[in-house]
Amino acid sequence: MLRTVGRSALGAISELGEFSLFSLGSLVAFFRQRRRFHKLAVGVHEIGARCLAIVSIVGLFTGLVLGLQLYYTLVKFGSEGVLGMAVSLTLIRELGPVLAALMIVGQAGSALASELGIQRNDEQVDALYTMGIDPRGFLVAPRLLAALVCFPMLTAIFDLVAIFGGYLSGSVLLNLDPGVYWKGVFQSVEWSDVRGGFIKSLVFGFLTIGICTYRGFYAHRKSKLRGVRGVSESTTRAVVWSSVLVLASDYMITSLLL
Amino acid sequence: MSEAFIEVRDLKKHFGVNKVLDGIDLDLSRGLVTTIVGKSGMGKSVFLKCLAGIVEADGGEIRYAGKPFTLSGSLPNNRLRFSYMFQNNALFDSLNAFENVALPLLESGEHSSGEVRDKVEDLLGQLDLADSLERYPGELSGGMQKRVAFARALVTDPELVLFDEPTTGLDPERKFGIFDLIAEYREKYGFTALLVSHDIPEVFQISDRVAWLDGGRIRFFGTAEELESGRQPEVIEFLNKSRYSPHRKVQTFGGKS
Repeated sequence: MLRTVGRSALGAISELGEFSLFSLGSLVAFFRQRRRFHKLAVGVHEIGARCLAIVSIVGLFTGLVLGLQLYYTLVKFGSEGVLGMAVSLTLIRELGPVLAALMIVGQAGSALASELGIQRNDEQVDALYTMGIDPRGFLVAPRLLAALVCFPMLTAIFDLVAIFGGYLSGSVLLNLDPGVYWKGVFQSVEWSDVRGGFIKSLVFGFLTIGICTYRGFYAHRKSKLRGVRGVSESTTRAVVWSSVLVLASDYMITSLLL
Repeated sequence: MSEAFIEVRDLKKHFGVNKVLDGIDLDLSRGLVTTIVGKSGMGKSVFLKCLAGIVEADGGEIRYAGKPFTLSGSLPNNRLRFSYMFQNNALFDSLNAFENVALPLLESGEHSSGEVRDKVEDLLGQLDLADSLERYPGELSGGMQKRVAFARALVTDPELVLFDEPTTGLDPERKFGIFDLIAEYREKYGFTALLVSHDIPEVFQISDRVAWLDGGRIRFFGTAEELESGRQPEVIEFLNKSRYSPHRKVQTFGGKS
């Protein structure tokens, strides 16, 4: 029993160390690449364009539901006037970064993990080695850096659309005065709230895209299965671990920020 | 007169208890085509990958010009230009034919974009792919994909080209086409070639040297004629089985250099 726990703990520490070296090594390798801006732009397009629609849609429905739920809760205490504040702070501090990250993982992270896994299986990664191109700098780093650009932007879009969704359900459907709603939003949200949300989105971006690229890049080593099933398993694990880490790190960052 | 170019000494590689390479000794002579033959699963491709630095060998030494050397392409101070043509081509699906071939040149930073364009277009034109520059690998036939991979392997003017079963999945006519290309361009550019192939006896037509890999070691090294006239029972059995494979068709080879 003790041996099993110890082995698991050592395995986790070793994995964490390998992941850290992989991520940092990738970023270092990026600065030895040619055409860096082009690669970064492609990465931003891959993550940003791929996720814009889903983040906007989920943001809208999150805002709609949040507006409805909070309105009917607040109206019991005669406090529906603070709906704008409740919606905006809940979204900017907490739900926006977390839900946007989960959506990006589902949409772009899974695609990255499977794409890299297939490239590994298809010997494209080996081909880069033989051409004298560091595959981490070429395939991984642009995506990692693009995540640092895209996650805060997509989180901001998620927040804005969701706050608008809260307005739709609170003011348009339930007849709360729009002025009261928007005044609540503008008066309650402070720079520290926005900054906290952005810090979270940056951490989530690095962790999730890092894990997805790591699992995909080492699909041949990290999975006991070979071929397509190995890629499938790596992708599933990448998405699961990314999602768990988003929630776990969210708690830790919130504890530090509050 | 060919000179010693790459020397491989006592190269070993095992996966678990399976000793795939058990002390390979091989000399590659400059400007010659050396072909490694052997049964499936004998480690021919593993040997090529060890040589290229893709798979790390467990022991042994590779020497270039008499000095220990690694062919790992990621080394910035790589003195030997080499390229590798993969069995399944390893073309990037997101890049078109032109971009796939131009990739190693663009990433090396040693050429202007104009030079790259001229060189790639010229090479792809020579390989009858001038009309397919903008087409993606998924839009190309198997033979065309091979030619794109071949172009990518040659575009850097390599001194050494490693071919891992370059004719896999091709019909007999296309196979001869690829062998023709290897022979023709070897003549033209003077690179040294190391092939792994199952196409016996067709591949012998372009091979200056043949190495027979069996049981993790090179059991025979010499010319194709010497191999075919040899008296080793294992070699005779291997050649007979390879030659009289039921799906093999007898063809004449038209492009010996």
